[in-house]
Amino acid sequence: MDKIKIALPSKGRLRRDMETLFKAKHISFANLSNDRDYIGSIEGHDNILIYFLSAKEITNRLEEGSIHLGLTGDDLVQEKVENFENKVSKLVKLDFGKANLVVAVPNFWIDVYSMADLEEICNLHRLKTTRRLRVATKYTNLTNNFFSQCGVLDYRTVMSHGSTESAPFNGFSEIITDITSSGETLRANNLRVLDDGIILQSSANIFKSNIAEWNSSSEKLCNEFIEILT
Amino acid sequence: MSIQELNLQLKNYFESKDFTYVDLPLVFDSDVFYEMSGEILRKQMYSFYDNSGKEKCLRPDLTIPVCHNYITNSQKFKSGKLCYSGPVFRSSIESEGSVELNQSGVEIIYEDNRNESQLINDIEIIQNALETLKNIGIDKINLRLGNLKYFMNFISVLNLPQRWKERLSRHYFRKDYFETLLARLSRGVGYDSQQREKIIKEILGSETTNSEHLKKIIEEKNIFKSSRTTSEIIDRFNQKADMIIQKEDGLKIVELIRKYQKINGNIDDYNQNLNKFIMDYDLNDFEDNTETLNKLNELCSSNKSINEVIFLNNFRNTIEFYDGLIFEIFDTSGTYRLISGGRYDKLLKSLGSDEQLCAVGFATYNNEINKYLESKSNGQN
Repeated sequence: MDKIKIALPSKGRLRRDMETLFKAKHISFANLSNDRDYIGSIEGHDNILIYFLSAKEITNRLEEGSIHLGLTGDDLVQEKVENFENKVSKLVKLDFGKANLVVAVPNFWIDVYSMADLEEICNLHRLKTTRRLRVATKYTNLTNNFFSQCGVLDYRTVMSHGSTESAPFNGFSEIITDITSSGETLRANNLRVLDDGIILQSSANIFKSNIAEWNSSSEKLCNEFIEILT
Repeated sequence: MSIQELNLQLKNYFESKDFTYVDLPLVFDSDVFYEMSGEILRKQMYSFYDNSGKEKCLRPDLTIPVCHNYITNSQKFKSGKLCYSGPVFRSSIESEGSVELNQSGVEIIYEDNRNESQLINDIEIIQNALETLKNIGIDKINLRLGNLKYFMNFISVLNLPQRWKERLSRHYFRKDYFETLLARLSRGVGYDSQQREKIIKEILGSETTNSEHLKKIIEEKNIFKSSRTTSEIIDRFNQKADMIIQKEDGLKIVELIRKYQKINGNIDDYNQNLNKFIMDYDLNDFEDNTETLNKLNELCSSNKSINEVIFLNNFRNTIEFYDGLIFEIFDTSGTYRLISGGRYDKLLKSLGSDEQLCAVGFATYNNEINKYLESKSNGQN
């Protein structure tokens, strides 16, 4: 019989939340030689192979189709997977990993509260200085799409690989877009989320790869897994 | 006729009319198109990264490269009458899956920015477009006209803050976002004194409304190396409170804009409909466009190849750098878009020209023209 490949987070908060959920649903892993093993199965379901990967890696494998199902966030899928609507399907929305991707500006910009304000100041800045205001972000695709929808064109993105919230303070950018759950880090860095500046409300999900090879046997195993999880 | 033959025929025709041919590469830096073109063209572009990590694209348009070439090599050109012919690359449904669209076109770049000169050049470009089609055997067409300047004249008489007038003009071509702006305007805009005080208290922890005091407080908080100055922030904050549009006034203005945009129709009736609109809504300061329209109408009625002329106040184009006249030419059934063109006086300056240069131009849609000519020879039209 065919086996189905499912990738789950290997570390961090997402791993801990996943373990809590699995425990609550009485799902145990089997065939793991130790806690740090990267491959195993689900007890009583030997045909469900489990891979432990980083959320980013899970997203890549879903896009490529080398796993059937994967647990990862909307933010990574929508940012990294081109035409994600065709390549992956959301099967289960989970109650953890919740965070918003937001647009934040320096708090003392008392004239800027909305994306329309941002559009106007970007335009004014460009006309005045011939330079564009800079947006530091890890999420360039989602940012570009959202800014374009909001009519904001006179800006440029600056790629940030970490501590994006410090970019304005360091003078690397004027604006940022970043993932936040409580907004505390942003506030601590004197940044403020714009009133209509929510780009994406993200959470953890079980995604199905539409690229992976599917047959009646793997579909059956997929349903079996979803049933024990929900 | 093959597309290549049509490209060549049009190139030769333009050269015979004293236009200088500009030979352009197929691959360009993406930046210039991102900055100058609109959202729709951006989405249709084929872009990629070269080995140095620089983003490049297959040219999605030829007007921008021609103008850029003119600015950087102006000594090379005898006059500002330029032409081009060849493929552009867009992922577009128009070409039914083909990525290659063929265009031939002319651009007239000149210095004289007086109104009379603009009108002469606007008329000349339409005449050129009609003659070009005649030369390839198309002698009956429908013309659709619009003019962004008319919209700006209209917006200028509305009781709106200047920044809102500019915002509406800036986003005129982006239909969806323009609607978002109207929805926002209909909810009322600007800070009243209560909102102002609330913001100052919440953000700056102060109760002052004095600009100098505000400046001092922000200066202390401006620990960022921000490229926006404190004065810029305060000035704009004050401007937002300068003129408040209440919800009911916002709704009225939006209704007026929508009514204006519905004045579309045959050019003979347009003036009459516009005058009625001006009278109905007491827009006495509205500088109407009768003279220009009459001149255009004269041209149209004397030109036998024009079957129908429609003037549209809601004319929008996917090319966002147009800032005055815009036009499109269709076959008489309205199936094939054969030519589009217009005025773009601000483009050359934003591409880096030291001088304030005016420009008008048009491009033929050679794939569409070929299909139309084929259907004509098959007796479908």
